[in-house]
Amino acid sequence: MDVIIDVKRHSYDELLVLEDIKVHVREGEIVAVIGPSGCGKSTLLGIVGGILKASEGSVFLDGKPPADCLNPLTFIFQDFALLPWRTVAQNVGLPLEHHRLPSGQRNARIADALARTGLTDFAGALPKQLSGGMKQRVGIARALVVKPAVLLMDEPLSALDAQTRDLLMEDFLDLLLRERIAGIYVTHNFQEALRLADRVVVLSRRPGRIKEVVSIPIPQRERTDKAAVITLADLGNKLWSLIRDEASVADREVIHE
Amino acid sequence: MSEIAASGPSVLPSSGSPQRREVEFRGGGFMAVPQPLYSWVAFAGIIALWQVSISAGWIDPVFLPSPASICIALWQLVVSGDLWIHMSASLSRIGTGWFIGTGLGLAIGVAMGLNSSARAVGMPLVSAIYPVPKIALLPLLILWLGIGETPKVVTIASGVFFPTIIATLAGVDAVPRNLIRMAQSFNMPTSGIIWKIMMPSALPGILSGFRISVSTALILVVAAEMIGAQYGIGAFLLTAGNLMQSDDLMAGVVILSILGLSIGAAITVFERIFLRWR
Ligand SMILES: Nc1ncnc2c1ncn2[C@@H]1O[C@H](COP(=O)(O)OP(=O)(O)OP(=O)(O)O)[C@@H](O)[C@H]1O
Ligand SMILES: [Mg+2]
Repeated sequence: MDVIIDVKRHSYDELLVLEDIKVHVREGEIVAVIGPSGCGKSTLLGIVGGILKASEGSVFLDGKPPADCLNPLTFIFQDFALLPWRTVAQNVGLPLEHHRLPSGQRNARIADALARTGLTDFAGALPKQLSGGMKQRVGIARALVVKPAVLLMDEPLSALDAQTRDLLMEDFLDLLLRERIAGIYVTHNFQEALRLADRVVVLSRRPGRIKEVVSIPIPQRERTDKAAVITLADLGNKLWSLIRDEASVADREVIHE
Repeated sequence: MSEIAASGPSVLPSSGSPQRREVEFRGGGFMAVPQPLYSWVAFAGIIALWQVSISAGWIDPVFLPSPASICIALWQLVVSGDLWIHMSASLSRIGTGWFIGTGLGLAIGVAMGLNSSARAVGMPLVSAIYPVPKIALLPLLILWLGIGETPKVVTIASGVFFPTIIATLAGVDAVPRNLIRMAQSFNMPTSGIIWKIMMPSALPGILSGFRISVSTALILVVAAEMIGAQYGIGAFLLTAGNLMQSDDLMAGVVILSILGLSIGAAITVFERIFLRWR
């Protein structure tokens, strides 16, 4: 399923946040969005996922979602957004509860999502008993349980420490590629973008406009090979030079709220 | 070379430097340390001192009865069955009033939390009536509803109703928005959001509201019974006071203390069961 983003403008009251964002995310494609703080990345993702309404412009879906997909556009949240009073399995099952499914199928979906995120042994644990990395695995399992077409991820790893982040990112990438799930991945961290994305959309500082779209011509599975190191380093330098000036200006802005 | 070899990870320099001194403990942030023994010893000490001052004749027992005579008065209340008569009268008033006030308060608090128009209408009314000591309404309620149980129960219900609304409203307002957005991102229907996200999330606030509303109910039942009732702890206290039976009077106070503590403990048990996830 394709996502066609055509956001002409978005503002919060007087504050213009996004302008002229046109992106076509193809089936199974992973698109990273990077840009300085406050440039409107989260806003853009919210608009794409239908939890914010663009001031002007729309987002379209095209094509058929995968079989038994219950929620084509599914979020994975930076702060995990788990219900603390529910166990891991109950959290993962939450999005199924308002769908009519035979209970056998429901349980099978939950078990499958838990297995694919390595959470089977933690099904009965409460969120407070889990580390940050495990909590985000629950967030991922909850997204997988609805068999999404496109995952919308707003800095899903940024609340985690560096080692957990690296470990989880590899698992994550594996899932996306294996299931051919498309992803829009918002991040500050262009190393993550370089590891995951087919294309990187670089936004300017607020109001966010598309500054450049950088394609990464190496398949994700080959990016850890020695041969890829130089190309990726060049792309990394390019991305950094694209956002460095924007970021340093954005960083010095005083927030008026 | 030998210097490097000597500074292995577990080898410390031997003492002898005149500047060497130990780092002192500078305080741990005034952390509260539980000391149950102190509490019991102090409690027992006060009772003992009290008993001694009366046995020795330092205090007039009509003015302040001794712990022993209070115990005897309590015991007589139990064996005569009077305790049960007064307790059941008070408890049934508290129970009825509290349930009515809590039920209405929860419903209206949730409605005000979810619906901006309901909040706009309700908030000024709640703010205006909340600070009024509800016992002041009793004469008015007697005028409207006649004497008997109804005005007492309604007084208690109204005393419970307002703090419950406020606790519920605060609980609903404190529901993390990201959880609601998460639910919406899975197309969860509004009723599901209310029951599965908002209510459990507001529960801690609602339960701590219960603590306040229960003690309000206790105050109001005693006050209402002092104004006009034949049975009830409040009526019993008033009679004992009029007859200068200070041992009965103190026994009534002890009963109220035990009652308040037990209700508080029951709420704590409730919290342990329902808020285990915190
Ligand atoms: N609900 C809101 N009301 C008013 N202004 C908002 C709101 N949400 C965001 N903003 C402002 O809009 C701008 C863009 O916010 P957004 O969260 O989309 O940026 P971001 O690129 O995700 O930032 P970050 O990198 O910090 O996550 C910011 O300046 C922010 O202060
Ligand atoms: Mg953001």
